[in-house]
Amino acid sequence: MKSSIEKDVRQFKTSQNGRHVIEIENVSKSFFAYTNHGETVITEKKRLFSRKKPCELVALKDVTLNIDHGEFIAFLGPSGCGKSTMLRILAGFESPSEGAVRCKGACISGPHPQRAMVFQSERAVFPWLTVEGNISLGPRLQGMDVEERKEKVAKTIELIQLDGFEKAYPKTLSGGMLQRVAVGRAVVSQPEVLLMDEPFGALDAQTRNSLQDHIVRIWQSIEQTIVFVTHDIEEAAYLANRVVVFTRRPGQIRDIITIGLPHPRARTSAEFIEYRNRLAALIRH
Amino acid sequence: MHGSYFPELEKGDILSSPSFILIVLSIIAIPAVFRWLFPGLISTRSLKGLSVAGGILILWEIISALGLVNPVLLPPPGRVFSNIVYMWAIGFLQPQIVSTLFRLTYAFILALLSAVPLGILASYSPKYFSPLEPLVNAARVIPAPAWLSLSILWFGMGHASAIFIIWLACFFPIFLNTVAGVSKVEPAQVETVLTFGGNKFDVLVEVILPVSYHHIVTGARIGLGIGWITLVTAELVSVDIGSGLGWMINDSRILLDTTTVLSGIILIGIFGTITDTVLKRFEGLVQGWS
Repeated sequence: MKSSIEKDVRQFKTSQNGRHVIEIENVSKSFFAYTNHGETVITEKKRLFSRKKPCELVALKDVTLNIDHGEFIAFLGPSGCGKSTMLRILAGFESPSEGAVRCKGACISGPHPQRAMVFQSERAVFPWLTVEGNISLGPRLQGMDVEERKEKVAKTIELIQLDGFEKAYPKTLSGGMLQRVAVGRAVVSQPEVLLMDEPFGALDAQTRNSLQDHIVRIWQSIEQTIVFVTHDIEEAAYLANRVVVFTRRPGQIRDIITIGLPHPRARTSAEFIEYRNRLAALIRH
Repeated sequence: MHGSYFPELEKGDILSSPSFILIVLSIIAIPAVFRWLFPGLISTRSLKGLSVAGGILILWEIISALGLVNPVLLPPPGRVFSNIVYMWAIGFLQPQIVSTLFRLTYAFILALLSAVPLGILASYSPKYFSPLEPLVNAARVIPAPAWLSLSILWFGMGHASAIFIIWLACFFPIFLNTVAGVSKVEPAQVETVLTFGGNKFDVLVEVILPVSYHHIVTGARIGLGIGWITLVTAELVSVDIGSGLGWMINDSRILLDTTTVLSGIILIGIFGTITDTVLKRFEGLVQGWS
């Protein structure tokens, strides 16, 4: 298990520096729901001139978490528990109502290529671009020069094992291949953190299992941190180093489980099933 | 041909029915032979279309030749065809075509340049657009020619007035289609560009334009079609000779020169098809849609 040893060394180094890639400090997030003539509008801020009293939805409450370099973190929780909101805060699409989020010591104030996001929606892989065009989107937007871009795109296509599909349009690809393109598009410019919002949620079990193996392989070959949101207990146990279990709304961290199994993990081994049952018990409460 | 604008017109030779039918038949036959010699050069669809159009022309010519209809009410196609050739030969037709195409292109490009940015702006900020929506809908149903008299007062007789009317007709289909196209943009697509380091301009170029492209082209095709439809009314305001096909139809109508009216109708049909075919070509420019 050469790779896992390397990983341990890496973790040791980062903890020595005392610097985390991501620091989440007492983060809370609430939304305000206004109901007007039967139509509910959800806003981030309280309306200044509204006579109506809004219904406050607390999505996240007092979340504190540090993520180290090279970790594979899973956010696990029932749907609507705020785990996706937490991820969107990390991506910079939303800002916390209270508390602070830092990436490499700097406050997160908006989206940044350092924190690339993989979306669940199939349409997020642009249907008007080829596989190659989709993957080179990030480097193109970041102004990488053509030669370097070409090289990186070719390497990434190899990494996601879609060789031969460079010129294919998304409509000709299967759902699993599309998600691989989405992952490749995010890893190509080597971001510090990869944020994944239930990327395999819409796929069938077979494809999902094979994509989980893909993502573990990709994670082992790049030196990046992954934060993975899922509501699937087995998926979290299969992929992550640490599983952060969220409670129902308001979303709080119930517990953090460190999965001490090396990759590749056997889904049928006794230890794996034990971890899975522990997570299931935490969720059920 | 009493009271024709051009007394000389009657001096022009009129094709006899058999020779006209022969010409039409050869127009169908030549591509057919070509297709047989070089397969793949001409599609079956266009050949079928050509045959149907040619068949109707021949039928019409025969009906006229048998004297079944009054030639003033429905001039035989041979005469219309000869009329077109004659008007071209004396140099009367060219300025009409040039002037019409100039106005249409001008108004159409103006409509594109105004409707597409406004459509994108409107869907970018529905907060500001939704109060305007009833007004836009009211303006949309007003036939463009209804503005004619005001347009004359504002812009005077001539080009500017006609261009205004055609622009008005083109504007709304393009505008509404752009709005519909931009509404197809998904938040995840916008966020994808943002998460990879793009700014708002990148969102416009990388997402909004490609997503709404097909809707905009469709809107442009509908808009230009309506532009052609309003042409005759728009060119009512023309003053001088060489003022367009619409003007030509109107002027001949007053003089009961039905042959020239039909010539204009057929020419508008031909040029309308050409412009639509050109626009249709743009549909294939952005790939990857099912």
